[in-house]
Amino acid sequence: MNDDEWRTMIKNAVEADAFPELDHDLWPRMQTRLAAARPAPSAWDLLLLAAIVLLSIAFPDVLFNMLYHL
Amino acid sequence: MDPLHAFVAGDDAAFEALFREHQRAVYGWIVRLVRDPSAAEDLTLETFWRIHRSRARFDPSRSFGAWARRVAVNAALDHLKRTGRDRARLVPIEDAGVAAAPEPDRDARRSIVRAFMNLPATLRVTAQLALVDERPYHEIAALLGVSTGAVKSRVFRATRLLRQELAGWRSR
Repeated sequence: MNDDEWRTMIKNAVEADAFPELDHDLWPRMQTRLAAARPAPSAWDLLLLAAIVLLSIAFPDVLFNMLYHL
Repeated sequence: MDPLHAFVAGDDAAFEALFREHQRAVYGWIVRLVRDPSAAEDLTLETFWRIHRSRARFDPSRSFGAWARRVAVNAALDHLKRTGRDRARLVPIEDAGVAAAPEPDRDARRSIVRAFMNLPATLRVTAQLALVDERPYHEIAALLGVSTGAVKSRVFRATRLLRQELAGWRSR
């Protein structure tokens, strides 16, 4: 059997398998994956934010001083 | 703004539109390579995940389909390398042609498919694209990011390995 006959035999054998087409939408799974990858704020981020808010309420002048030096 | 420029700029709605338009084609390319519908679904998501992550590098003047195909083939190749050779595993699928064939033909075809699936991942993917899908060598080279010479060499090695693997069956 020559190379071309081998290739034809392989092609015929392998491509005979009929795989079903995708019959449903994968977008909902993609959305879940994208959402899971978005970074959620850590507890430290929230704690720092809360501290800044409290400081701003307790000592409003500090906030203006900080803004002035920025 | 056209959808491809919007996608590159990070527009989620543009990405969703591209996903819905191309998901079936991407799945179709992958399932032929990995021959496992469940893995092909996961790899379709992996392909679009990679596309989403590297969207800023995409040139909107080029074909999105060609880029998606390159990413899909490489995701399938990575999967096959990771899972190793899929030895002696025939996926149970509808295969009317084989079921209707006489017993010796069916056995012969199974032996060929088994030998094909036993090829190392890079040879298997290259052989699928070259021998089964009959894609031109230069296109396969671009898909896999290798030279045309490397594609020819892989096809030669794959054919030789298949001949060796099937020598026993043919002498029976």
